[in-house]
Amino acid sequence: MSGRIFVVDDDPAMVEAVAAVLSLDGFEVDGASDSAAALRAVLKNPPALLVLDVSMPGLTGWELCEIVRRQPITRDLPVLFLTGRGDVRDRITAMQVGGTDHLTKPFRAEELRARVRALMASGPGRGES
Amino acid sequence: MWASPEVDLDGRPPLSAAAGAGLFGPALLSLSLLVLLASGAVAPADVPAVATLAASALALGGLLATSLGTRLLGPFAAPLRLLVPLALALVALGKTGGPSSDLFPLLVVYVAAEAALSREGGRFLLVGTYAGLALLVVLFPAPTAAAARSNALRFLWPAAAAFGVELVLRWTAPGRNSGTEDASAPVRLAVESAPASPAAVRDPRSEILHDLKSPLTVLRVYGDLVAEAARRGELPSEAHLAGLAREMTLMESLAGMPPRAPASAPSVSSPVAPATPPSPRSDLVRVLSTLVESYRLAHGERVRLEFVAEGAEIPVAADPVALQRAFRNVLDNAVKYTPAGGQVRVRASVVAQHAFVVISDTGAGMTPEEQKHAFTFAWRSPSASASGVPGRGIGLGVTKDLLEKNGGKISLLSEPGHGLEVTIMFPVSREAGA
Repeated sequence: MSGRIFVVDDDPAMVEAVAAVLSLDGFEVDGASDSAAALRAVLKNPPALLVLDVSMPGLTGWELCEIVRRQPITRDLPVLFLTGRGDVRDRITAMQVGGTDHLTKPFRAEELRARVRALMASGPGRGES
Repeated sequence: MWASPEVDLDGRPPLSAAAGAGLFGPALLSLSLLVLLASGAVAPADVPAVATLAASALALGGLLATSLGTRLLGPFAAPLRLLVPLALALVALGKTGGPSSDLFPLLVVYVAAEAALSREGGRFLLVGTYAGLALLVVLFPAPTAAAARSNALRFLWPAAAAFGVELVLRWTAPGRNSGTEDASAPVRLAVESAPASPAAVRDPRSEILHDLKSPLTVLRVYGDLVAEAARRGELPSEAHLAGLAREMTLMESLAGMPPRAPASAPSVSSPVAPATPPSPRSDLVRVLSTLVESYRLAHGERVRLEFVAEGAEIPVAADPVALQRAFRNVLDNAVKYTPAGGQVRVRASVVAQHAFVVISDTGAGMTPEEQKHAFTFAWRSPSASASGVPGRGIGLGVTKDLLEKNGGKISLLSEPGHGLEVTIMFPVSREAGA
């Protein structure tokens, strides 16, 4: 598969690890550990999929997703949340702010790959390179 | 009601503070009084009416300052909010009678309800506002009882209407009672509701486990990639092995284990000698400026964050991921323990082939005894525990490990009541262009 994916996590090691998995699948992966910089980059050049951590200093993943959802250019962008908290309330919040899917940490490489493949196959494909 | 099609690229949802601090009531009240003036129900020649007009303009100005303040007015936004109390005082002076007025009990009820519905800073502001307003009513009674009654009745219905509307708005909002920044921002509300189980948040063990999930995920993912390569009969990528080794090191730090030799760090047997990961280099200026910017976004309204670097870049021989984690821990502490209105300063400089990063705050500081234990794993001072600031006492210990494994050193300097100064030192990388 191909397409550009943008990964945002305040832990740069997580960005690197997710990129390592997805780039092996043929995706072009960009990332940032600063949520404000990530927002600028995503709005400037929308990817085909946005992968977001929830708990970050600055904008949280939920806030970032909600802002992205309000912009015409990124309104339909699929968003996959990576979160350390996987209870029902967090899942509901993720949906409320416009998240498409979520994956609870710690996850396996294969789980990440499967979710991303499904989202990339069903998503609008906006911004694919 | 508040959503804007535009995005604030500095990170704040626009108009997020619009409904805060009980401003809906005063604003709607002012608007109602403006309508009264415009409709001729109040004679323009009436001096109290002129006061009302001025008050309305001030109140609306205050609301505007609050709504757009963060973006447009920066530090001037907060003082401008005081326009609202001033406006209300003018309304009181112009339109009301003394304690015998019909308005007085309404004011008392209004103050009590607003105080109950708002929180913290907003609560103090509101109580002060309405207490001052009530005082003005007492000190400046209307000239006659009839005038007082007439003025009070004119005031009564818009006030009651405003109060009613405000109540409906607050109680139908998904995050009612949440106060200054939240009532109009669903995202913020969602964030505040994030800890689904309050007990889990308070339990330090749960919090530590939560913190471990990220490094554990990274460890698992790299482990999976190495295993997949082995199943395909391929050599694992050096980058994946290096990632695995780095996360192992972090986990060992978290577990309080002594460091191992780099060659034995990855636990997988591999035909590739994973011995020396590529020599890491970082630019302190880049790492710190990104971090400070993030914290400014998150906490800039509460604490002033300043970053000063001597030089466009300061290269050090350290892993950027480890550095970011270490500095994040120190900044987290500085911001957490600095009270509202305080300052956190980050300075980076080079002196005699050594890079120094000094992170100082204006918080409560540490006693010499607390400094002695500050780097002990899972130790929290009694004063920190009593402060109600969430924490697990693992940040500084992990930071010390991370820094030392990257050639750095960390030290503390503090006097109780005069903030804390954390100094981190690295040898400057000899290779240019880090």
